[in-house]
Amino acid sequence: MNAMARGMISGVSVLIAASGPAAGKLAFVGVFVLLLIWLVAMPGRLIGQTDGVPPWWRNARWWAIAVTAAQIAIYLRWG
Amino acid sequence: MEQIALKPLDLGLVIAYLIGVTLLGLWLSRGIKSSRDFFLAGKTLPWWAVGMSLVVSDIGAKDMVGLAADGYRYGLVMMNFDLIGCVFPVLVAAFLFMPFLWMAGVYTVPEYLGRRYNVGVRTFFAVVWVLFMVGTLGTIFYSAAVMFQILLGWQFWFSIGVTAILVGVYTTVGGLKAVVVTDTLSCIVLTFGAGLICLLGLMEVGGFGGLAERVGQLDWTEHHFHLVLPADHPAFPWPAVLLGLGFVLGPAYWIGNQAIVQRTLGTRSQSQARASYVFCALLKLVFPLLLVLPGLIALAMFHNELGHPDGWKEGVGNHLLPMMVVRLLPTGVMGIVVGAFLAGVLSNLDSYINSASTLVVGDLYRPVVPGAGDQHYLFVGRALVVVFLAAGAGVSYLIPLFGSVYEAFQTFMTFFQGPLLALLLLGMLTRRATQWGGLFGMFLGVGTAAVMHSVRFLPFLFGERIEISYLWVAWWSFAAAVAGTVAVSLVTRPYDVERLRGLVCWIPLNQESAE
Repeated sequence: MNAMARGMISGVSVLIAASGPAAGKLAFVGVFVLLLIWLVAMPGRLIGQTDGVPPWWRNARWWAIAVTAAQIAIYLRWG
Repeated sequence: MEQIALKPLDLGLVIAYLIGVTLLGLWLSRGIKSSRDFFLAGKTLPWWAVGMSLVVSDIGAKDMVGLAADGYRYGLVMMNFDLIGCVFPVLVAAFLFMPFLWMAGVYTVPEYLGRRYNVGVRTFFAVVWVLFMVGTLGTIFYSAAVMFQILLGWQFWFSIGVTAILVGVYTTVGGLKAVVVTDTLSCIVLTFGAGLICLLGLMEVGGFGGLAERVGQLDWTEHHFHLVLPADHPAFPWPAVLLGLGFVLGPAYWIGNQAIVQRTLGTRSQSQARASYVFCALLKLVFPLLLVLPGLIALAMFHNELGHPDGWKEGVGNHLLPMMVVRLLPTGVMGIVVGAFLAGVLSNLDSYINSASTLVVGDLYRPVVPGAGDQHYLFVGRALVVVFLAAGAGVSYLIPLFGSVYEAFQTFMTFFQGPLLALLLLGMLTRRATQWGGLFGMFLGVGTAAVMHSVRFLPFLFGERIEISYLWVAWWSFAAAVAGTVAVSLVTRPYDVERLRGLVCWIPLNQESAE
């Protein structure tokens, strides 16, 4: 049990630590890039945009994309 | 250590703010005629108010005072609690979960779980959340009293009395609407106050360039301007931050915490529910900086006086923010900033009080006493606000007597957040998750967390003590709950499609009546 618990806890860390210091930055940026792709590609019918796209200042999808892009920039700069 | 001695003008501003907030809450109580008005503000809340309310509901006295100290010790990495722990799950929730929960027409998250799985799951999570909320209320009261003591020199019980009366008055009569509108005001005042401290602090240390230069000269601050720390960092290894905070604790908080979700359920439409979350994400790009930056500025300003945090006596970190307020702010402005801190405390407290009342009435009282009439539930909801205020104040009294109470409540919650998120995600995203799968997954996830905590706290069982970050506990309990739910669901019979209509994302209601 002890060995199993230790393995569960530290196994992922050890593997990732071995992959170099940039791995963390890439992982965080990668998560937000995936989110960005999902936000861009999401079908309009899932968010009630079946009758056309509203102007950008009233479009929640546009604002979500802007926030995600800002997150990517933040982690690229300070990650 | 310095204490803020408010001049008459500052004190007047603080008192005027507190009275103003209370009167505003009372004025908003005029329209409360039913339990729906009280618990969900009659579904009339605008997205921008809910967005701002979400932000300040997440910021308590402990965050305001504590994040400055953590910013001093660890630097920008503390911003991850908002950036990866909030913005990421909030954006996912905005498009996938919140409009859907709104559409399901539920009052509480356990109510959804009850409809999706069974009454056992609903009752279990309702009881867990109520216990957690009582503990949280105690810690909010306690942190607020400590903050008032540091900022204003108020006695412990006087602080708790003032806070309880102010919040109690407008929350009891005004319900969710009063909570959200006063939160909106608090958000504006808090942004102004925290922004002013950052601005004046940066001017004092020579701007961002001067701050980086001064902090960089110290020999223990090599990671202070990094959001991502090495994988072997003792406190915040990035894999644990990403998996535990970003994928489990953050989503569990922003999708499963009743105090957060409830105000979104009070919006006018699905699209407004979505917009409120996106607006919250937008504000959360700025707020972590406003709360962590003072710690870095304090490091640049006071390192010669305070030194390394490892050498601090208990409580020194709590004085960082007051030190900055005293040394940076002129008369008049100081009153506004102290008012801003009080505003944050009131918002944090009123959110949990209102949600705890909603949980008990919706998930525990109404099922036991059905058909009692709407006015009866409204009365019980209001009475419970008073009960929870008293309970929170009582628990706050225990915290200084047993120093580990706060940590105990936090640990208590890590048993449940991973499994809660697992059940919510599988329940909303798949029709194949069954009631027995959910029940088994819940117990397996909680059991996994219990085993991991026992490795940490009961070394005699395992031969040695192993330090485990609570972020890892959250991740593995979530993974176990997912595995358990999937395994048992595959061998048990799922509900038919009609039973799941409106409860699974891909099976909408027949008549769309939301917009």
